This record gives sequence, structure tokens and C-alpha cells, in this order.
Amino acid sequence: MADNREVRIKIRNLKKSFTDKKHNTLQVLNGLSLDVYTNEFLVILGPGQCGKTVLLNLILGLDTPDEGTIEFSGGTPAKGEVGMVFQRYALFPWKTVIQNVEACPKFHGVDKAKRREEAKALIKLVGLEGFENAYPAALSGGMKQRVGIARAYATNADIMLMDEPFGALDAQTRYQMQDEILKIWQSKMTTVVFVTNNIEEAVTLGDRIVLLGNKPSVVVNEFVPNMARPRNNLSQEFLEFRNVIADKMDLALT
Amino acid sequence: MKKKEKTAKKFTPYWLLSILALVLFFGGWYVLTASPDSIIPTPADVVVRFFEVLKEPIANVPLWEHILVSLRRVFGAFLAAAVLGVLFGVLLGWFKTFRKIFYPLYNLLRPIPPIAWIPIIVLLFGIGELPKMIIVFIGAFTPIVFNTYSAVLMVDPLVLNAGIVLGANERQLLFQVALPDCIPSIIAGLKTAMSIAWMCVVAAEMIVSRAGVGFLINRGMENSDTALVMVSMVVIAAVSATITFILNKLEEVLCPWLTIGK
Amino acid sequence: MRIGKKDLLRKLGDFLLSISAIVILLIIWQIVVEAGIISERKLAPPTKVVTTFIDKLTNTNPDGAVLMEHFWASLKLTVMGFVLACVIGIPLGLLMGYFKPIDSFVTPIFEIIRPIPPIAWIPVMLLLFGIGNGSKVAIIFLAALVPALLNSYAGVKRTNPVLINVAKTAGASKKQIFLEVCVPSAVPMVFTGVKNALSSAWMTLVAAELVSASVGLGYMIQNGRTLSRCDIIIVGMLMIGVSGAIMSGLLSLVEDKVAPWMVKTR
Repeated sequence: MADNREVRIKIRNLKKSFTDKKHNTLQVLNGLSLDVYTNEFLVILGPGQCGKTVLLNLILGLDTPDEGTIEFSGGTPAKGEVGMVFQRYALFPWKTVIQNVEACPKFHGVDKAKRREEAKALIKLVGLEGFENAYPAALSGGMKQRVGIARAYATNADIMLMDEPFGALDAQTRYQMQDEILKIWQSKMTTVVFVTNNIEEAVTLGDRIVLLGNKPSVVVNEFVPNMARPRNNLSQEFLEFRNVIADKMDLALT
Repeated sequence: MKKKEKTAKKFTPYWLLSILALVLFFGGWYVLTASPDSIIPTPADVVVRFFEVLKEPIANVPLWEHILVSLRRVFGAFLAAAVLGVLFGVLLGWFKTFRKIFYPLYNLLRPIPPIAWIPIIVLLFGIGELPKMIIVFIGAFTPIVFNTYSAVLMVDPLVLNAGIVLGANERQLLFQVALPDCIPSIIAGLKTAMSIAWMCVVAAEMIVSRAGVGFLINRGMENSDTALVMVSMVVIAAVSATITFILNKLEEVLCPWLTIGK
Repeated sequence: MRIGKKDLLRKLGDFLLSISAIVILLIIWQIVVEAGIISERKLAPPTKVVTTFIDKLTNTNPDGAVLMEHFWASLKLTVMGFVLACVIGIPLGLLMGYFKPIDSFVTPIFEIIRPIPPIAWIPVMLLLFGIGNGSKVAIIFLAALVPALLNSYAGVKRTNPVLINVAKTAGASKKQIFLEVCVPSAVPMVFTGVKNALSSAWMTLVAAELVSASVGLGYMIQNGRTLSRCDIIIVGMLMIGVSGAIMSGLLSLVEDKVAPWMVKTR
């Protein structure tokens, strides 16, 4: 059904294992294959420690796979050409909000006036106007992650990876951030790979949901919630869809 | 809940206890030393001696110049130790091969207290300004290297990853990501180093010197002028407290992100 | 097995790298002295240091005691002052951290004593306790007291308030909160304090022995200076360094036993 869409990232037969100090080998990914389509909002759903972060690190090129390939249409991007939103924010504590947001253009030598202007626009987009000169330590979790999102979008990359970005937030803030991220995604037109362990979040956000099994991870199922946005998480349709995934997830865990 | 607790407790003026402690301290000191054949001077004697010392030079050098001599030694050596120590610490922490080669040597020399270097340094370099500064340098260098090195080694990997993902090259990663992350630890190391440096200068001056605050103590000891010894102790403590105060202020200015929410 | 061999080679390479700097330093040191760039009267070459070390194990010249006697004399005083400082400083610091009246009472006096380097106490302590061991133990005590007390105090102060509230809701008394929550929370900081106290004690002892003593490693090197015996000075320095390292090593072992839940940073 989605096969006529352009593939942005093509992942084939990815294997990755880690060896600890006692020489125990842990197979984290075992032949994972996945296509990510251009401008889709893909949710990768998986239980606790199923190697989702490892997968993102491989896509980012922070780590290399033991086997398998990751291909990008138009060639492998350099560092700074894929945006990343971290679960624990990973903001630079010594930089103010605006300095955090403009970090990537600064690394790439963009001149100050230009990157300031762009950073201000992004700060406005994530709703943090007035906090430009605050340090991250002074912000709440939700606000910190807004900075994280603005910083990722400041790369001007067309691929955004998000590693359980709202995992540490309270429920209320989480719902709010979900709305915001959809708005930003629609206004910026980017390919998003969004990792979560929360089924409701997956159903709320995803164009497509990929369910990963427990270690060693492979794709066990794929779901396409054909629901109009914004999705009402109390509607019959939503709840049914949610239950279908929940059943599959229980299976994946056993 | 908190409010109730406060009103329930009966109000104790804690500062009165502090005053009481100080009164007991100085009172006790006075009572124990008041008899004319006491070998330890009374607090009053120390105050009187202090004003004498302010007026008349000791060993032809006025008090403020003794302080200045010590400060010059400390700051000269401390600055050198700060620059070289941070550099060496960063090299140790950031470059694996450098670490493999030089860490064992550093680790071997580290446990020798700076004061134990005094005899050999004096033998090698005589009794001028240089040997004292070398001893202070050794004292300050060790903690600066150690703090810098451990900080660089323990930079939050998440922050490093963020830097890489945002496209920082190797140099930017070191100077714009890793090093700023280390600043608080480096400053902590500088603070430790400063108090050790100050102690080293006092020790070195007590053992070989003709001027400086350590020399004052020694002069007092040799002349059985215990009031002078205690005046020197007070001066040393005052200078040391002032330096600590200035360093703390400097930390607030340099790392504004650390004081938020405290 | 092939990997095992590769591992072995890598380990050998690492080992060679790790001793390279030390070996090169020793060689340069030897050459500098042999070539007369630095007079042998000012700096003894490594070979001479080794022979002096062996000789000093049995020879009481020139300072009236063999190496081990000096070592034991220094160790004894350090341990006495250090243990005394821990026994008094740790409980006092812990209590100060939790009980406000004690804090208000002790802090002003402590703040007067704290900025005075322990070495500066030497003349006063000599007057108060004479030139024997008493004055040295007193100086070491002061040197070790400051870090022991300060860290214990900070450890209690930094107890997670949530844990205190948990204990409160469970109906713990003030005494129970202190003993069951604050004290265990403070253990890591206490250990940092104890380690700092030990190295401070050891350093101060050396200083005290440099200024006035008739036995001990500090005295040995000071005597070496007056006699221009650089070989003895270097042997003494190395001995001081090695003993300090061994003592803090032993302390780390105790730490592992007492607080196994602590996460080691390296």
C-alpha cells in the first residue's frame, strides 16, 4: 500500500551485539529490516530495553553494525545532517536556550546574525519566546525538551530521530507535547522516526507503527492507523486499534 | 505541614548559640592564659602585638610586604600550575595514547606530598625565589591535573553524543563540548590547589626564607615571640579566607548555570 | 584463540607504553648525573638511590635509625592523629549536619580554625605539648579534623529530602531519621573526607618532622639536606610517596567492605 512512496532510509538485515567485560555476548539486533518513507511520521514501538536506542545510534552513525546495511536516498548524510532529540534532553548545561538551539549552525560556521535569526524563529515555533537567555537548569522538563526539539530542527535536516523524547514528562505535558510535535512536523515537512514504549503515544502520532520484539530485536508487526488527526484517544476506533497492538505487544514480550 | 511544624517548635535564637560559642572560646582562651607566667599570650596580647607589627617592620620588612612576598610566590606558581596543569590534564583525559604513556608516571609521583620535595628542591635550586615557587607549583599542579583529567574522562557521554550528532568536528568536540562540561570540576580543582599552594608557601617559608608570612611564624618561634606567631596565624587565615571568597565569586561569574535553583 | 593472542599482544604493547615514560625518565636522570650536567652532590643517580635504599634498610647512619624505624615512627604518629580526628570529627560533623543547635554552636569556632594551614600550628603546639610526639599528634589531628568534619557535615546536609519525608511519614523519630536515613546517606561523603584526612595527615606529619623531630621520614630527609646527602633525601621521598599510596589503597579496600552499594566511578 505504501510501497509506491519514496524510501528515505532503507535498513536491511541489521545485526548488532555487545560484549561485556566478562565476555558475555548480548545480541541486541538480529537481522532487522525496515524502510522509512520520505516525510512520514514513523513510530517505532517496543518494550523496555529492546535496542531502540541502538538502532537510532546506528542510523546516526554513532556506532557501526556488525552486519547489514543502512542506505539513505541521496547518500549517507554527514554528522549534523540528521536531527536527533534525546530522551534525557542532552542539552548543553553551560549554554543558554538560544545558544543550545544555534549549536549546530555554530559548529558549521554559520555567521552569528543568521543563526540567531533562525534560532529565534525556532524558539518561537516551540513556544519558548522570552526564555532565550535562560539556562536549561532553570527550565521544566517539558520546556527542556522543547529546546531539544528546536535544537534538532536547527540542523535543517529532513530526517528527525526522536528517542522516547517525552518519556520523562508527566502525562499532561506529554499530551501537550504530542500535539506540538505533530504541528511542527506538519509545518516543517520532515521524515520523523519516533521511538516510544507507549502504545497510546504511538497510536496518537504514527502514520505507521512498527512493533519491535524483545531482544534480539526484529520487526514483528506493522500497523497503519488510518485515522484523521487530531486523533481522539477516547474514540472507539482509537481504543480498538490500541487493543490490537497491546495484544501483539504482549505476544512479542513472551 | 511545614508551617505547622515551625509554629509548633518553640523559637530558638540560634545566633545566640553562635555568640555564646565565640564568647566561650575567647573567654576560655583569656582565662587559661591570663596568669603572667603563661607561655601562650592572651587574645588581648595578640591584638596589641598585631597593631605593633602594623607599625614596626620585622626583619626590616613591614607586615604588608611580608604578605605581598608570599602572595607573589603563590600567584606566580599557581598561575603556571593552572595553565600547565589544565593542559596536562586535558591531554591525559582526551588522548588515549598520551594517557597510556604519562599516567603511570604521574600516578607514581602524585602521592609524594609537595612538602616532602622541599629538601631536594632546596638542594638543587638553592634558597632564592625559584625553589619556593617550584614547591608551590608541585603542590598546586597535582590536584589541578587530577580534577581536569577525571572531568575530561567522565564527560557525560550523552552530551558528547549530542555534540557529535549536531556536527561538531573533533576540535569543536573538545573545545566547545567536552571542556565547557569540565569547567566546574576544573574550578573545584583550582580551589583545592589554591589552598594547598597557600599551605605550601607557608611551609616553604617556615623552613627556608627571609621574608613572607611563613617566615614571620618562624621568626616568632625563634624569638619565643608567641604573640607574633599568633598574629601571623591570623594573617595567614585571613588571607586564605579572602582568596577562597574571591575564588567562589569567580566561580559564580564563570559558571552562571551552576547557581540556578540553589 | 586467535583473539586471545591478539589480546595478549595488545596488553604487552600497553604495558610497554605504560612503563616507557618512567624508564625514559630514569635513563635521562642517570645520564644527566653521570655526564655531570647536574652535580652528583645535588642529585643522586637512580642507581645510587637503589644502593642507598638497600643500605639504609640496615644502616643507622647518618641519622641514627634504619629506614623502617623512621617509617614506623612516622606511621605511628600519623595513625594516632588520623584516628583521633576521625573518631571526633566524623560524629561531630554528622551531628552538626542534622542538629541545628550543635551546628550554630560549633561552626563559628570551626570557621576560625579552618583557614589556618595545619603547618602554621606547629610553634603553638610545640609550646603547648612540648617537642615530643604529643605536639605532632595534635598537629596531625587538626590537619585531619578539617576534611573529616567538613565532608561528614556536607554528607548529612545533602541527604535527599524525599528520603527524610519517607521516614517521617513512616513515623520515624528524629533520632531514627538521623541514624537510619541521614547517616547512611552521608557515608560516601564521609569516605571522601576520610581519604582527604589521611593524605592531609600524612603531608602535615612530613612538614612537622621537617621542622622539628629526631626520628621519622621527614626528619630523615631534613637531616639529609643538612648533610647534603641527596641519595637519602630521594629514598625518603619515595618512601613517603609509597607509604601514602599504600595507606590510601588500604582505605579504598575498607570502603568497598563498608559501603558496597556505592558506585565506583572507575
